[in-house]
Amino acid sequence: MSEHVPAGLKYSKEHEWVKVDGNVATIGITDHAQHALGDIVFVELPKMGADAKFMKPVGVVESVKAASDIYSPVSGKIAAVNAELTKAPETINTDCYGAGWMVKIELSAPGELDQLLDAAAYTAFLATL
Amino acid sequence: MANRTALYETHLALGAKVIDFGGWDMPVDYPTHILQEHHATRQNAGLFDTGHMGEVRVEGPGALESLQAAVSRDLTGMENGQGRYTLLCNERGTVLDDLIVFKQADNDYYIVTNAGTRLSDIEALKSHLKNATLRDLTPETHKLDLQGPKTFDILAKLCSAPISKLKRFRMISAEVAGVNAIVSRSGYTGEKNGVELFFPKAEAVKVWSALMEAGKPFGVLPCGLGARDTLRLECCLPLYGHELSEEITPLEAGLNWALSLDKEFVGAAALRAQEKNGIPRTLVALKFAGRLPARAGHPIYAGDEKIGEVTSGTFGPSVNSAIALALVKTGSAPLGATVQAEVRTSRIDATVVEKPFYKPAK
Repeated sequence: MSEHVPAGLKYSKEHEWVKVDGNVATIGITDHAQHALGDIVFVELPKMGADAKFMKPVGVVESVKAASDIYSPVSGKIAAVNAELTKAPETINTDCYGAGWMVKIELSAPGELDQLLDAAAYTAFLATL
Repeated sequence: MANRTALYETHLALGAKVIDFGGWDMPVDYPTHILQEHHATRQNAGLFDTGHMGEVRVEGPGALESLQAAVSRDLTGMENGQGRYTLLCNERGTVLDDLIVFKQADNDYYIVTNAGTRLSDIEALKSHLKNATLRDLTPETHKLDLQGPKTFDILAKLCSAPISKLKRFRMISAEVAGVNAIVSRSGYTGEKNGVELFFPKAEAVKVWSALMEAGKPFGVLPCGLGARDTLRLECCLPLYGHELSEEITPLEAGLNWALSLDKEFVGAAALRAQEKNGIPRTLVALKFAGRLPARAGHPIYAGDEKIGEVTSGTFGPSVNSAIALALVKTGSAPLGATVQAEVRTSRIDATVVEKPFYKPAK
């Protein structure tokens, strides 16, 4: 099964994606992650203004099977959360890189982005799993 | 290395995600995922590889008497082909496994066990054998479950025997897709229409493929253990290791109907004593207002008091809310009461409801 890895995004080895726009990063989980989790039925997101720390849990997704932590691929302050996911968590399954985004984070340590993978490196990483 | 059923490669080719279950590499879901597989079973039909489960045959003039001493349910008065759900307990009256015992003929019983408990079940059963022999048929047997309202439409294309006339918990011998099989009207989804098929292991791919092909126009889907779990939990069927274990008695699990306490069997004395002295815990069904599932092991509170914990919890696709079974202090959570489940840092309200959560239509 080929999994979608859009160019232009950064990726963590925990299967989060990051889209950087100025000083703000939009975060979600990858196509690989949503496939592995299966049907998502609940999403727990942080509060606005909360601190997110590099590769520490920032939220939880519950699939029918199990709960899984979402790790923040950057440090900073939570600037926005996708409240639509509370009503329709399955959006993460159907549009993980679009309407299924989870949080926006105001970057406090942009240098961390260099530790993330680009699309090619993440695709290569997936091939090793 | 983990055990694999004869269909392991078939599951991989279908893109299944494989997990360990009771020492077996089993599909948890296919790329269709649990919700779709669950709904296919409720609305059309689901095909499950249950080749990991155990089959044991007990034969001989002492077969009935031997089994009577071992299992919790009275097995007298059964017709040929009839099956009974029963428990295998230890002296403390807690549960070693749940079994279905079919009477094939006088002095000839066919027993279906769980996967992870099969070898210990066999040891336990063997210790009671008098004038009877036990043979483990698992290595040469495959089992498939076809479940859901279209079951008999699909089988009718592959089998001339009148299977739709079978009563619940009855088995017959029949040819399915040209393969000699035992067909039993039973299953683990709560569906009224469903069969379990037992046949030679070498024919597993042939029978699976024939059922998938015949089922295509009826919307059959291959289903993994994930959907098997949501289906059984909605109908409050117990799962060994969750609602049944060596730490839980059948009285606590609400399985009184599977106990014949007026006969002697291993654990009967302990269970009679518990029934007389009071049953400390009760298995209750909890329905949540939202979709956040509490999972096995999560604590349950009534106000500030911890009253027990969840044994199984999931999102119930056919009831469209989170559901759980929980073992709680007897009397602490009556029908209609609101209790709280602790899920990570939050406490979420649940209502104690009647079992089951879901009753399939005809």
